[in-house]
Amino acid sequence: METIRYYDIRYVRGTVTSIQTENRVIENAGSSFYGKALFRVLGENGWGYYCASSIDMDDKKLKDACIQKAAASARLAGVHADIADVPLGSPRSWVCSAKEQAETPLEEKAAQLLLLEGSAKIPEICSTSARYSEQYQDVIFEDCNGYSSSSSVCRTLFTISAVANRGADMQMNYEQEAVVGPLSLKEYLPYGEKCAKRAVELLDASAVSGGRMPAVLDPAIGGVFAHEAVGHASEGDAVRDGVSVLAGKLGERVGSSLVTIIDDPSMHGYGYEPFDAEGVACGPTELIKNGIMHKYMHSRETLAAVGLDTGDAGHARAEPGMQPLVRMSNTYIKEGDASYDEIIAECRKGVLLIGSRGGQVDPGRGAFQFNAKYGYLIENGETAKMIRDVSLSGDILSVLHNIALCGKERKMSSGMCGKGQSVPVSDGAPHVYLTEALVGGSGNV
Amino acid sequence: MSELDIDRIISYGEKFADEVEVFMLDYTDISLEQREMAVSSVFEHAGSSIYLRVVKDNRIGISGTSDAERWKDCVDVALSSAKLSEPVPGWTGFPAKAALPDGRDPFDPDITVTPDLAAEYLERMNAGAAKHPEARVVTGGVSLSTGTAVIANSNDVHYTRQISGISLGMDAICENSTGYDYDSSPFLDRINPEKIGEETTFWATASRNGANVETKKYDVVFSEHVVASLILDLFTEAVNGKNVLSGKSVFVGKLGEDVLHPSVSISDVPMDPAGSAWKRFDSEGTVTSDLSIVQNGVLSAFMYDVKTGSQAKTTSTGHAHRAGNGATYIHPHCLRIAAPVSDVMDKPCLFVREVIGAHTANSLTGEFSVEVANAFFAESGKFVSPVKKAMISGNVFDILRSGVHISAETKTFDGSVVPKMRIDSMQVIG
Repeated sequence: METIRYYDIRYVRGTVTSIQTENRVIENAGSSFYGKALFRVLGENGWGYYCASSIDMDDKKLKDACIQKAAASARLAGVHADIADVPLGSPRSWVCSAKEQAETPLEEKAAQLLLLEGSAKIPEICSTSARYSEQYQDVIFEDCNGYSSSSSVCRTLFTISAVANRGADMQMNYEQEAVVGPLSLKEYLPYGEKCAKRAVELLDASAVSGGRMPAVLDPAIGGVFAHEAVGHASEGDAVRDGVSVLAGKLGERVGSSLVTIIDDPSMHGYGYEPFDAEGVACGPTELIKNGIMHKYMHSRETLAAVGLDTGDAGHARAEPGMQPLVRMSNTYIKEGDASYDEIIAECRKGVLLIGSRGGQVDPGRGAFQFNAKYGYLIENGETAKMIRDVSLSGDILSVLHNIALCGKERKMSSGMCGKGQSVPVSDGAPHVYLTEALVGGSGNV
Repeated sequence: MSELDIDRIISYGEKFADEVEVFMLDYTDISLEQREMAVSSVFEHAGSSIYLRVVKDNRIGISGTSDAERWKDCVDVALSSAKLSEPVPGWTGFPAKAALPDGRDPFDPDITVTPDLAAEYLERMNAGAAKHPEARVVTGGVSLSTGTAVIANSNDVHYTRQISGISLGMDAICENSTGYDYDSSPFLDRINPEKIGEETTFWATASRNGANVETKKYDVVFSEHVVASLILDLFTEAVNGKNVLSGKSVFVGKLGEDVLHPSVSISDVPMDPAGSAWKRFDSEGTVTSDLSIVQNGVLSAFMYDVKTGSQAKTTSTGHAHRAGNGATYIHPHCLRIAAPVSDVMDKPCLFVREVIGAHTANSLTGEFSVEVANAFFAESGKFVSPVKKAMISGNVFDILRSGVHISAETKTFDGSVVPKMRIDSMQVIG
């Protein structure tokens, strides 16, 4: 018999239904089914995992056999690990039932998606496409101490993209909305035209030459900044392993006093979790509070390893059948008190970056990069010419000190975050003014 | 699931559909992860996935599952989804049975899914890492897998491919400088764990104390990693037949035209001896063959699967891969780039080993602006000084149009065999 100090089982099953349209034709539509159970055992010196495809959770004999397989794997590990005692969570009371959505015929959703895509067909648009997806996922969790819980969550999203063409020049834009719970495509019909108009406008935009300059981040790209630059470096595993520039900085000033950054899995955003992948209750964690490094995000293991007073557990997340990792959920920069006009005026000469095409960070080196969908030059305290293919990179600790103003209104955007596994997240910010940033581009403006 | 069950699925589906296709994957894998230079966790996984497509009146329906017991649900869902899809103009049908070309599967019988073998390779990787002891290894991992992929359809196609794989990765830190290396292959003897370990700690150690860079144009050499993740990934999007058909490629309507420098040719060679994903047939059963995509700068072909080939009034080029929802997507098997070969590091240059944010490049226009990592000024093939921080900007298609030099030595990735590349006069922002 193997030594088992702790075990848990996380069984995830669900259905994903998607519709894809291309130039007003249904490209494909259908559903897929998945079910994976992860058996996790903490042995004398580390973890063993065994993943099985779809099981009967009432089959005790089968579960015991899988636990023993995981225990045999754990016996091969040689790094002692402890897990912190933390409050386990019962699902929060947010009801995100999507019964009506689930019962709506696929044909009706497809018709609405075609309408949405069709509204993007305006002059100079040569190609459009749209995608709709709804996922219904059940999680059943139980551990060796008799704790068990379950949840059902629906996630729905659509994307619309448009390609504009004028002579040899082409530009593309896309818009996306992703929510926990149902989403009525009828309410988003204007998104098609909005997406297309932006693609056409980009035909007249210029590429910037790049360099060091002041920059204003809109809520979408400000959110990516919070996620990439601060969030990843505040994850307990990076801190434990000494590969974060924010490790060892609790209580120290790491940024301007205007900066407060929070990760909150219990928030009703795309990264919402009723309880985390270890069955732990979720809640908000203030990572940076008024410019001071305040807390890290943790799993039970990293909380025990880094210190019980260094942050909050409840931030473990996992793809179905994969091991829990410390991850962000809904991450944002807290609002300040500046108006949008004040921020643009204060910047005087620089760039306004809008929308996100994604980003990446090396938390150990403290370097990050992200790309905007488009932006505007700021001249004499006012927005001027539209710019495209503009990116921003920087050193985490320097840039946090360069935040000079935060706007009054925060917006959240949804997407996926990859860290070996892909999980749904949201991030957001108010408009943020940076006194200096490294802006990249290959143009001459 | 047994092969008998695949026939059962096809028979059941044929009661309601004109054509039925089953793609099934069975796999077993084990992963060892390391922290503090010892194994911290062991992960074992066994499972299967089934992907189904049905065709009724030239309409394609799709479904998939990781729960083999639900195959009948999948057939029903695929039949419903076919009713919703538009008929594919010119649909030529799923591939018929054909003679497969000679060649091996990407399978190595010496790869056994055992912790002992994984631990041996981890230990050897650690031994290599020890050659630069100033760097601290943060994490490392080894995965081993074996499996079987079967593609079968109602046109008598029933092909089986045996697959195996080993992948290793390690990351290290030295002061505030990081290093990372990764490799994977279907064959044990193509993996050099000591070299992966040594490269990881070398990059972390050598990148310390980087200097600032003046903003101006430099001659730049991209490592194989950067050529693969930036240059070839964006090129692949532009020659994807689906993107071409939907107007999402800068190469639309340019077949037969000069699109790259006359010294540049790019082809896909599915059974390239140096490749890592040998395929005699693709994931819908089309027999693969070499495809010249750009020949001496002239665009000569796009990549298609059966559906997009039908829509384009041509045939599949055998580039179908399988997505999680059962649909196919188009991707190369083993891209090869030909261009003037030289000692690309001989003249002074800025060598860029990695970039942060390659995926944020503009996949339509080819514009990119990314942060460099593990970058060095080099002269006569030697690194002179590391670079602290810089961004590089440009356009992938302009780079390939202006002419480049490539190295003779290559590195194999999943989907390509890639050289280093020298690019003259690139914008660097310091």
